[in-house]
Amino acid sequence: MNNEEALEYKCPACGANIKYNPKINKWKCEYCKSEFDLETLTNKNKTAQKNKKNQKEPTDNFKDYISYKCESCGAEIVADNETTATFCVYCGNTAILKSKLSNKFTPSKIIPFKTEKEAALEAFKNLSKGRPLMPKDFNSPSNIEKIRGIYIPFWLYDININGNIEVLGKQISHWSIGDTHYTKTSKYNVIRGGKMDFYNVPIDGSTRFDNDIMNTLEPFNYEEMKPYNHAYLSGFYAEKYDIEGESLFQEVSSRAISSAEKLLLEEIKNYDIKTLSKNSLTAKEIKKEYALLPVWMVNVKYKNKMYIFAMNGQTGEFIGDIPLDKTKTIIYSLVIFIISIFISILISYLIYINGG
Amino acid sequence: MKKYLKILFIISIYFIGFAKCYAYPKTFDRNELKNYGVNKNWTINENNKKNILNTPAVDANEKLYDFAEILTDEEEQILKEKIDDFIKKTKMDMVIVIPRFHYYNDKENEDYAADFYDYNDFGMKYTNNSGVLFLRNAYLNDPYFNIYTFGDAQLYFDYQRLENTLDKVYANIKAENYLLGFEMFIDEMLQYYNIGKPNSMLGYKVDDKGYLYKIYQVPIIPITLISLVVTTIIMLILINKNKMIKTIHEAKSYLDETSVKITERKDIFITSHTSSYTTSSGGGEGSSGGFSSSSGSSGGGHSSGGGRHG
Repeated sequence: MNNEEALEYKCPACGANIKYNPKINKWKCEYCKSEFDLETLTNKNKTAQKNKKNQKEPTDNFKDYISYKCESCGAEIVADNETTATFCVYCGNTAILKSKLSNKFTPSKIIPFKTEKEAALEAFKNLSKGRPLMPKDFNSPSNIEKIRGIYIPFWLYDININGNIEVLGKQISHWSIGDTHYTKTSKYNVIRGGKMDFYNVPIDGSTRFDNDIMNTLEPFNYEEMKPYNHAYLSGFYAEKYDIEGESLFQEVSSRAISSAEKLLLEEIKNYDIKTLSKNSLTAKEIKKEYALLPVWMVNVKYKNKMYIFAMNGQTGEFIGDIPLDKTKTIIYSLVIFIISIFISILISYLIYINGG
Repeated sequence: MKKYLKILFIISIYFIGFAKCYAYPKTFDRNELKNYGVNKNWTINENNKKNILNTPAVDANEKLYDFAEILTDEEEQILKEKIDDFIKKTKMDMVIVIPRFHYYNDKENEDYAADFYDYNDFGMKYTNNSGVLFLRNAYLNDPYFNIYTFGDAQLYFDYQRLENTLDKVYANIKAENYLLGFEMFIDEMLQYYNIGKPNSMLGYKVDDKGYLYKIYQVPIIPITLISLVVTTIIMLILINKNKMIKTIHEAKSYLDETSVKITERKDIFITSHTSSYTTSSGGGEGSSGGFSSSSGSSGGGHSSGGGRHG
């Protein structure tokens, strides 16, 4: 186990712990109600951090874990290697493991949280709206095990796509002369080439989060993206990437190639049938950046089974797979079937009385 | 001389003994006192009175009316027994009528057959005046024959069955083998009755005027299939609402549209193929007949086959 220095942000006014408040886009002290912008807070805290020494020699073989000393209560807290910001389990104080965010693990960009925990809770409670097959008590807040605001490590790729696609195009025309009906089918080898750029295509850089969940949370509004600063992590959890960007390029570029292929197919007009025969599009990395993007993770335990929900910490998009209530599913199927039967009989009877 | 007279007498007896006897059907006068001999529930008015008076009033129990005298008494007797057997088994009337009048068109024959059936007491003992009438117009220049059905008989003998029967008896009627032809007709009708109603008539009933009407039947199989498809689609939509996590395969929202440049456009012709088929737009000369129509003057309904000349 390694001992590390935990970076904390204190209120420059009263010395209490201070957290980032997404609502006001500032850091607000819960005790003295003081509010600070990023610049003021960073400058004030720099001086204080210089004097702190919390070093301990490794004491055992838990090399994958880090212990740190909580600045508020002095307790020793353990976090795994990927965690870069966490909380003291005793006093709830925020701790940012600065060393883990150094060098190559320093993100270049961050999108700060814009939504609060209450919004995620509210979104979870509203899951039943328009979902009649959800178990009645599934969205009860008592089923929530944890709600955590986490900065997820993402690689943002700028990708250039170049090349062409080949399509077998068919033009079909019909005409009649007297009682004879003709169909003419003309076949063409259609080639469309092009180049285009995709910017900031995101891919989750952590193995600890499901890629489909992270992809479904997209898109983030990159206009609100800011240069990275540790201070944004206060009040939230954060992770560092554990997959190198290079190994994700093929996966992320396949999305760009797929969109480019679709765009070039749309360029092929005047054909009745289009069948893709060859795709020679290639992807080239222009640039990649490491960024932290805000996500509320909601862990739900229902009938001894765990369900993961996630909310885009910026846009409020809430996603997750909801279990089906089997009894409700059967009842709904039967009711819909019976109603369909009645409507079908009514329609067939109306057709009958109108001489059909 | 006596000897010659004796020989002449013997020869006369011989010819009389082997000569064919033809009996003209008995007819009755129609007059206003007995409602012109019409006992069915038809409305009699100025429009149809002439038709009624022109329709021979006959004894409905005879069943065979050979006005053209083409059947011998013995043949009539054989046929009558067969007709009685048909009536007993089917609870429907059967009439064979053989007039001889100038053929103008099929409609004339149909009017005659309908009036003859409607203005006599045929089928009155049975539901909806049910019965079958075979008309043989023995007009020498253009002989014609057809089968007409009334009341519930329309449900058992559809157009196709009547056509099949006409085809079957055609050769014998044309060759004037009437006994054989009429026997075949009766046998064929009895056989079809025993098979039951054809599928084409299962959705139909006959009203008290003798008209066919379609009854509403729930199309169970199509409705079940449609309902299953509708239920499946709606349930899939509802289930899909619970599955919010998707696999994303594209990145369109990250495309810089100003960067898109189409660098190549080629359309290379490979091959061309023309196929054709021909449809028949002309209807051809089909036979008339078929579903309930009102040709006679009574206003009642009946059906018929296509009719045959010969």
